[in-house]
Order: sequence, then C-alpha cells, then structure tokens
Amino acid sequence: MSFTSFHFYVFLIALVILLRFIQHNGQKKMLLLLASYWFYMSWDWRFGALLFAMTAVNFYCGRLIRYSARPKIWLAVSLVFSLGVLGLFKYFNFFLTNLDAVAAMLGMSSHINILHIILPVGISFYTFQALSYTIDIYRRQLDPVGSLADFALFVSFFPQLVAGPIVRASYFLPQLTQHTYADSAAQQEGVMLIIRGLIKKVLLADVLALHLVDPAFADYANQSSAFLVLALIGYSFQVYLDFSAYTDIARGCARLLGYQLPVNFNRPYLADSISNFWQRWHISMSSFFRDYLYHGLGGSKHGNVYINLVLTFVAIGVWHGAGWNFLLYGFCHGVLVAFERYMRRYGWFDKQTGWRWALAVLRTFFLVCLLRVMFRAEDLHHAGGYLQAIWHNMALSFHLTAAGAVALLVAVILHLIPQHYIALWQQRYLTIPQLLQASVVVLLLYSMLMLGAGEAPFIYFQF
Amino acid sequence: MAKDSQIWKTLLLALILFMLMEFLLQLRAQLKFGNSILTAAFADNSAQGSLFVQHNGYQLLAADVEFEGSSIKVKSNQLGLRSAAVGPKTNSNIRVIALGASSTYGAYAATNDDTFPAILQRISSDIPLEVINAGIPGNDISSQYLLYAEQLAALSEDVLILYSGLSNDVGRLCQRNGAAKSYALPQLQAPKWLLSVDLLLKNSTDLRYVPYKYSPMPDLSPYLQQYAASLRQIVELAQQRQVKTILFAENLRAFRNDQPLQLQQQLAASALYYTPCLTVGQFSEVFERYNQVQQQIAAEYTDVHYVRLSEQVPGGREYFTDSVHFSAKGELAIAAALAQVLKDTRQVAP
Repeated sequence: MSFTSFHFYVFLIALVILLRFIQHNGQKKMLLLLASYWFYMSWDWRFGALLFAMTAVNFYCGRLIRYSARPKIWLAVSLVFSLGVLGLFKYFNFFLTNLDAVAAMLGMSSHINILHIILPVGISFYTFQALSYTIDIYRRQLDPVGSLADFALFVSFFPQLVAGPIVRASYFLPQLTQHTYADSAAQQEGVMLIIRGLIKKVLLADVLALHLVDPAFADYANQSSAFLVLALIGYSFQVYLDFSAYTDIARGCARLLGYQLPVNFNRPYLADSISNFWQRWHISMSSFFRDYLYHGLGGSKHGNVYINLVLTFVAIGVWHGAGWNFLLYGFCHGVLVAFERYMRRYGWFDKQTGWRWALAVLRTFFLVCLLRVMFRAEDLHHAGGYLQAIWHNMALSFHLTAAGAVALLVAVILHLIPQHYIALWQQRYLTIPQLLQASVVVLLLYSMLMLGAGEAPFIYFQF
Repeated sequence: MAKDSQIWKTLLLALILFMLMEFLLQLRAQLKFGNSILTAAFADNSAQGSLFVQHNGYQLLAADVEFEGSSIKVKSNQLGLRSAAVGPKTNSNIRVIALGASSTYGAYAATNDDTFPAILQRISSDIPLEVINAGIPGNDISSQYLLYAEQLAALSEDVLILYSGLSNDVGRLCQRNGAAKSYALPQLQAPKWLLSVDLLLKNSTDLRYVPYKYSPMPDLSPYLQQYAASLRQIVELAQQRQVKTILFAENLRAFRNDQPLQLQQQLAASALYYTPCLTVGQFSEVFERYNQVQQQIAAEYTDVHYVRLSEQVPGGREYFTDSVHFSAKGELAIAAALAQVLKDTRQVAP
C-alpha cells in the first residue's frame, strides 16, 4: 500500500473519520494497531508474523532487562534476535555469495545454495526502532512499557513503518499514554505535509528518475559525459526528494492521527562539510548510529576516534543494502568524516561565511554526488563503468527533455529556499479563497497524473 | 468534522470540483459518442446501459441497441456486431466476415456505414458482397478466435478477412510481474471509468516519453507464439467451414520509420500510453514482427493470403485519427485496397 496509491488515501481518510468517533484512548490505539498491521500485511500478509515476533521478543526482553538479575543476557538476546532476523533476510545471501566466491578463488568447490527469500519491507527501520527500546532500558534512559499493545503500536505505527523516520521509543511511547487529538492546526499541518510530500515525490523525484536518472544509469555507455554528470546531480536530488517526500507524508499522516514524528532532513545539500551533511541527512538514522554504535564503540573518548568513525559509517553503508558498493559508500563517507575531524586541528573545515561558505557547500555537494554513484549503481562494476563513461564519453551528444530540465531546476530552487519561506507560502495559500485553494489541489492532482510515472515505489522501501 | 479545520472544507471542495470535471467529461462523452457512465446510470436494463457485453474470453456489443452521439452513432445487429442485420445467406451474394478489434469496428467511424467493412460492401458493386463487421474493441487475437468459433458459426461465409489489430495483444508487453504469485492483501483501485484520469493520461504520453531512454526490448517470443497459434486456430476453423478465401490484412500504424522521429513520437502517443516500456522504434519493430508472423502462417496454408496495405494506407494524420485507428479517409483507403485485392485475385468470384 504505497503512499501514492488511491487505496492508501481511502484507507487513511476512513481511519481519520473512524478515530473521530472514538473517545477512549485504548480503543483508539487498538484501532491504530489493527490498521498498522493491515497496512504492513497489504504488501505480504506473511510479514505480519515477523513484525509480531520482533515486537514480542523485544517487549519481553525489555521487561527482563529491567527486572531480572542478568540484564546483559537479555540485552544480548534482544540484539541477537533482532540483528539475526535482519541478517538472515538482508545479508545472508550476500554472505553466502561471497563465501562461494572466496571458495572458488581458493580452488575449492562449494555447493552453496542461496536462500530464496524476499526482503520484508521496512525491516531495517522497525528492527532499529525495537532495538532502541531495549538498549535505552538497559542504559536506564527509559522505563519498560507496561502494555504489549502500546509497544506493538510503537513498532508498527504505519506512517513510519516502512521507511522511517526511525523513531526512538523515548520519543514516541510517551505520546501513547495521552489521548492525543488532532486539533485544527494539526490537521492543517498534516494535510499540507502530505500535499508537499506528494508534490516532491510525484512531480519532482519520479520525473527526475524517468527523464534523467534512469536513462543515464541504464545505458551509461552511450550517454554523454555532461548528461551523466547531470544525471548524478539529478539522482542526488531524486533520492533526497523521494525520501524526504516519504518523511513528509509520514509526518503528515501522524499529525492527522494526533501524533508527532521527528524531522528527518534539514536541506542536506547546503551542508558545508561531509560531517555536516550527515547532521542534515536522514537525521533519525544518523543519530541512531551516533548514539547506539559510535558511542558504543567508544566515540571520541575510548579507542581510536577515527577508526570508530569509519566503522560507524561502514555500518551505515551496509544498513542501506547488502553489497560491496554500499560498504564502500559507507567507508568513503567514514574516511572523509574522519579526515575532516583530523584536519579541524589545523583550522580546516571551521565555520565559514560568504563565498568561502559557498565554495565549501559546492565542494561537499559534488563529493556527495560523486559517492552517490555507488549508492545508485547495481554493484561496484557498474559504478566503475559509470565513472569511466563520464571520463570517456566527452564527444557524445547531450539529450535532456524539457520535463527533466524543469524538474531539476525546480528541485534546486526549492532546496535553496529557506524553510520559513515555504512555511510562509503555505500560510498564504491557506488565506486565499477556498475555491481557489481547491482548484490548486485539483490542478496538482491532474499534474501528478500527467507527469507521474504510475505508482513508482519509494527508493528507501528497498532498505 | 466541519468545525475541526478549514483544510477539510478545501479538500471536500476539491473533491466536488474533481467530480464536476468528471461529470462534464462524461457528459461530453455521452453527447459525442452516445456512451458514458451516464448511459448505464439511467438505463432501464443492462442491455440499454452498456454498449459492450462480456462473454467468456471475448466481448460483443449488446444486441440490437443504438448509441448515438454527435460524432459517432453505433447500431448493433442481432448478433451484437456493428453491422446490418444478418439474414439467411443467399447464393447470389458472397458473404464476407471482417473479423478484428477496434480498427475493424471503426473506433472513429461516424456511423456503421463509415466503417471499412461497410464501405467495402458498398464499393464492390461488380461483385455482390455482403460484408459483416465482426470487429469488437478490446478483443485480442484469442478473443477473436473465440468469438468466431462461438458466435459466427452459422454464417456460412465465403471469405474471412482478418484485421487483428495489435493494441490488445501488445498492451501486455509492459505489464509487470503478471505471473508472480502475490501474497498481498487486496487493494482498492480507482474506478476504470474515470474519464478525467483516462483522458489526461492518454493525452499526455509525450510528457512522460523519454526518447533517449534505454529500454530493453521485451521478449516477444511467447506473445508471437500465442499470436501464431491463434491465427492457425482461426484458419483451421475457417477451412473446416469451407471458407474459400482467408485474407490476413497487414496491421497498420500511423507512425512509420521514414517519418521524422518527432512526428513518429506524436503519432505514436496514444499507442505508447498502453506500452510505456517501448520506444517508438521498438513499437514499430513489434508491428513488423507480428506482421511477419501473419505472413508465415499465411504461407503455411493454401487459400490464405497476406495482404500488404501500407502503400495504399500510408501513415500520418490524414489516414489515422490516433496511433492505430483510421480516419474517414483511412477507412475509405483500406476498403478500396481490400476491394482491389478481392477483384484482382478473383478469389471470390461466385
């Protein structure tokens, strides 16, 4: 059930209307829990059991961590189970394939059969959410929740279930204890966030994919260098718009249901260093890795901070997918962040202003774009091929449709506009006559139909 | 809800505007083509309310109904075909069945008399022809065989003209994961009769078309095998019925390889709506491959002839209203070409 499907909006509106008639908080949460499982099982009903197992194990581990004499053991059970399930579905075949390759290199015959399993949608997201609960209890930063249903709703809450933001238990569980009600301002904010997300996804991200990014990556050998470079820039904007669109819609839905989800992006391509980029990009994930892995490894206090940084970013890379390209993507970012940290001793990468800041932003943006090749290409071979084609295909002609060019231009301009201006426009939109507001909505709907590429899935669904 | 937020009022108003636009489009379809969702809504019975009736594996028009709009008037006969009433066969007439899909039916033909089968009957004055139009929109080659086998068995035709059309067959090329087993829960879909969606999508394919995109040619083999098998079934059934002549008409299109690429894209727009995974060049290749299959099958049998029509009915807007459907001039041209074939080959001399 994609956020861009007709079915989803029927589901959402029906849910919002039903919730208006429910006065009891427990009944409201139960309805949301059922709706969330329905939402998740609409992809594949078999996933429901996995989601429930992840919920039940972490719920009881949380209690045992607090109330048993051996909290470490129960934390280990939670970690092994959660990461084991994630590893089995996401990384096991990658491990087997590489084992097979190593065996072949050593001249040993192997008879390894890969598992024919599909990756459950959103598993990386809800695994981390569930883990944040048990780790926070272990660290005495959170008390175990008394109700399995509340915890199940926290893990499965449908707006953020399949592509985040990764919500900490300490952020969301307290919201469940109150009978939250979406007031007029919350409803307005929710609807505006959903509309904003749909515009980003359908009118910009999908158009960039169709007209610029997909043609370049599908046939890079026959595309000109200029087109390939433009497609890399286009991809950087596509992935940002696609993912931030999902977050906007998720936050909008949560607001309509009376809850809050955290902000996940802060104009990441205005970062003036790679470390600043990660403070602005997928904030809920990078802060998760910072708090639970980097600090766990010792952070800047224990061990070698540079190694800790590189290891954390390798984990971030691998979190995105099982492949050497993702591993190298994380490694490169880790090395760059470590380099920046080291060079700060000498005054490099300090806060800049004016044209120096602009140059730093451009430098960071192009580095991020360049590394995105590994993120988008099927594997390292294709990533290398793409970069070689940029070098070799200088003489080929340059193509770009008007729709692709306009989408890229609008994406860049929207990124440069400060958030408060966008908020101001939204406020102004709400002051124009309602008939005009409604006409704009219909016009947007028609534009989405004309320019959209069907129900293209969100990029982060695969992670 | 109303007291909660102005935004809900705006959304409700937007929905009303959308429905108003939809109503206006349905009204336009009703006035122009005599058929829309309004027909079904205000009909006394189902036969009056729907132009098409679904059978097992194919469709027909509702029998003996008339739909009239300012552009198109459709009158069906007792068999559910866009043709005059079919009576007992007389020895003085040569009975011809024109089997096919929307191009044979006459998607843009103003009246029954303006379809190429009707024109063929009219202009073949030196040969007494009775041409039955058995073209029904939406029927692919398998459906055409079923219709021919189940509904047209007692017509004792002398000649069978097959203009199969390809849209309904080729449309499957771009369908994804059709065969994969799905464990997903059922999902609601937007109603298929929403004209505001359909018209917008059909008239904006060029906005979504990327001329330089790389798209691998889908594997045509299973589709071509199915096409060949159905053609053989039709021929063998016709020969069992002792049909004297079977003509496979070349499947035509508005866009041709010798036109400038820009023009080809414009002319192919409505076809690419159904097959967004293909480029214009690939679409042309698909046509060629299907037509080659017709040629091969025709060569396997005696009294089966493949009729080339692309010279008499060249591409472009003059002969085609959209990518594959004929304009009035196109209907005349194809009828004239077929009449000439029948006359020249003397295949149908009584």
